[in-house]
Amino acid sequence: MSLEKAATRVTLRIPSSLAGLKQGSEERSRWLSQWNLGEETGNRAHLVFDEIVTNIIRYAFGDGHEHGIEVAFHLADDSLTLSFDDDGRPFDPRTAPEPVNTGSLAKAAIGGRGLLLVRKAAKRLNYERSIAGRNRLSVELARS
Amino acid sequence: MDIEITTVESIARVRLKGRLDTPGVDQVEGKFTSSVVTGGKNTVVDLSQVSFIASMGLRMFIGIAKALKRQNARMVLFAPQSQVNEVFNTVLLHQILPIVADEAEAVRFAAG
Repeated sequence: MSLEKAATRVTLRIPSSLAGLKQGSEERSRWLSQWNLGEETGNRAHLVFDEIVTNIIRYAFGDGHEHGIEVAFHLADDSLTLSFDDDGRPFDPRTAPEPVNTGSLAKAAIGGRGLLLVRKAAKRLNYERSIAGRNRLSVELARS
Repeated sequence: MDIEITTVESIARVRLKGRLDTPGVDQVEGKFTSSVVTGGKNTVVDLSQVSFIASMGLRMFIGIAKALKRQNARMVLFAPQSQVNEVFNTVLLHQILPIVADEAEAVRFAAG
């Protein structure tokens, strides 16, 4: 597909499950493959998508029900923005504490490094809690 | 995501192939854990065919390494590709897990 014909913005709605994550990842990959963005930008988009959707699935809800997650990708001249919209508990990733660097395996936490990776990959993060009670996070990546 | 595990001279050799994102980890973590943690074997992990890692992959490695350490065994990672190495550097993984260039060095480190 040519640069002129491909849509510069797509929106997906996926269920909050591993199957939903896989489905969204495949659609993201298919859409990105239409653009010649390079491996580094593709990897950063994959990383941000995997970390944020995984976090939403694992931590945003507590009711045992499947929820919908809306994910949008927007390509501009110098950036690629991934936006996430969910109705889970309020959570601003910009304020999450950095993982403590213990320097030893015995004291190291098993998890808690995903948001550090997102912050390092991102050019900009924006978060708002909507009046309707939804988390809206956007992660802007530089195009390499 | 594929996983192949062999044991040579009491060292488990794990070859991973594919992407260690959340779906990839879901595919291999059970076999990886049951194969190496149960026996408490020193373990070397070949990352030369792993093209991508996210935090669930880090979680898997650290969790297994901790379980091995409790049994006085160790896990050594070797030959990470560029994106994987970049993630390791970002989280300073080398401060908590040994990461070396090739299999021979990994085996020496694991046996030592």
